Amino acid sequence: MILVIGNDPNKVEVTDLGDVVYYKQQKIYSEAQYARSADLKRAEKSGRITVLQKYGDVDGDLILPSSSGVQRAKPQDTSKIDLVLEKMAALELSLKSAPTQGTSDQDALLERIGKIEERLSGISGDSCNEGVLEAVRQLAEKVESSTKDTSILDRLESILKGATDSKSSSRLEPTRPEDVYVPNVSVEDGNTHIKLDVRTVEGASDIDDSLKALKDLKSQNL
Amino acid sequence: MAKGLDVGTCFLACATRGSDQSDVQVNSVRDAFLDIEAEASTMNMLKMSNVNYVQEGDTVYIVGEPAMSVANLLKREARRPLSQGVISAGERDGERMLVTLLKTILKEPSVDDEKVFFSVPAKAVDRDMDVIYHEAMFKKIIESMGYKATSMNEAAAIVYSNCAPDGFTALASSFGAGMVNTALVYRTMVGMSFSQSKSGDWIDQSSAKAVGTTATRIMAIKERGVDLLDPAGGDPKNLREREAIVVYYRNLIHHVIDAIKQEFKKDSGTIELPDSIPWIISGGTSLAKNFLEFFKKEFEVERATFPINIGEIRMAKDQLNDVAKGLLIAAMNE
Repeated sequence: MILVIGNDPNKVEVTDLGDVVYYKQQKIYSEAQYARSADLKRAEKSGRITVLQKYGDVDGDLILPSSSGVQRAKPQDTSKIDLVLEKMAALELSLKSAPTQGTSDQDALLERIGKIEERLSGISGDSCNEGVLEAVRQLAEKVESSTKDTSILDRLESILKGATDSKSSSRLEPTRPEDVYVPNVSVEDGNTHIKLDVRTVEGASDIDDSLKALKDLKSQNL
Repeated sequence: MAKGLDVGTCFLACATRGSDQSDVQVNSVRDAFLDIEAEASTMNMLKMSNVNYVQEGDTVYIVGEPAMSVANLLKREARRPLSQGVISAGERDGERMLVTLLKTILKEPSVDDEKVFFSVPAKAVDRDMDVIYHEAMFKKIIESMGYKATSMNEAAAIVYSNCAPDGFTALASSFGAGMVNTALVYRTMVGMSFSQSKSGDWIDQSSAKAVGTTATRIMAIKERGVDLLDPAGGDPKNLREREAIVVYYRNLIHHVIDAIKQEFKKDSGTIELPDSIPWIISGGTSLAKNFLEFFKKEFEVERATFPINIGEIRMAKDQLNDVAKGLLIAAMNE
């Protein structure tokens, strides 16, 4: 297995493998893939990618170099981040082609990008974060001198949210009411003078119909 | 025995079956209070006027509906135990008032560990919101009263009370005072749910800001009745207020439609729907005159790009009480 990192801010297209290596993105290729890819070799020769490490399989599992800080690549994480990066590439294209808009729009866009960066930087242990952060920074630079396509940005934010929500919430927030401290609240009942607005809203037959329908639904599912 | 408790920013409503099981009763109380100094003359006035209040030391809290009218009289804003759908951590007066109101509305359980299903909002898409603290606080208060408390999504409860003929499959939006809750429910399973912090209060605050008055006054005008299709109808003195209210209603509806488009994209891979489903509209904010027609008109503008095939848009049978009733049905079905 061969671990490479992208060095080119404009991304490296590995056409013969149908792949892309983004700036500071780390990717793993098999030796066979590397051997047959002229694009990879060309990119390495020109310095657009760097081979970080070559390593072998042990019982079918990957051994990753510990000194470089690279963690075991998780297929799920990688695919999500790849999706984000693809969307960023599409946004870059639209930035290049779209006409310039007002400064206030660009400021608003920069603020949104800043928030995306904050969100990503709050999540540790993701092997792809650095690459995504760098890509977002580049995007911000482009926006300073160009313009935006908000629909793509909306989508990008939504993908980022989906890609990061589960990690951040599991680390930072309690997920069950039982995990939360709730203070005791006491009141003096003797000083309470409240009359309720009590209404009879309808006959119970409607509720009985709903309960019967729920029972039927349950039996269909069994 | 079971109860359904709708925890709303504006009202607390508790649905139970009558003692003879032949009807459904809903007890409700305005979820608001106003603190004033407990002077002798004030106390006399309160006792004589039969107003709901709680006295604590030198302060008297006017509770429920009268809090709104007295606040209006004094040109103050009534306080709410809940803000934008959730209880605020550290808001001690609000917590105490909430306990008082819940004790009044739920009363004693008729059996040990009687089931109470209470409504909770879904996670908000437009702000950070501590739903977990809110849920934990209500669970603790309700269980301290001898009940067994279970939370349930507010919009899903509407599907329980309105969609038996639809196989409990629908899109439901509850336009409350503090927030809008939306859920896509398929055969009782919640496929997508979210809340938004813009709703009735936001309409009041935005309209008040636009015409230079208080939100409480706008709420009073709104509750007296504003025809969304004809704001000119009514007292000419309040025309500007009514026009502002209509503008913000329209804005709110499009805000909800846009959010559904956005959220559905995230979950679209996991949701399978029948050809078309109904959209049920509920909540106090939907009580405005001609809201349904107004909503349909605005929706038609966006139908072509709406990701869910909507067959029929209809009002909940009882916009103020169907959350509580749905929770009661869910509790009884448990």
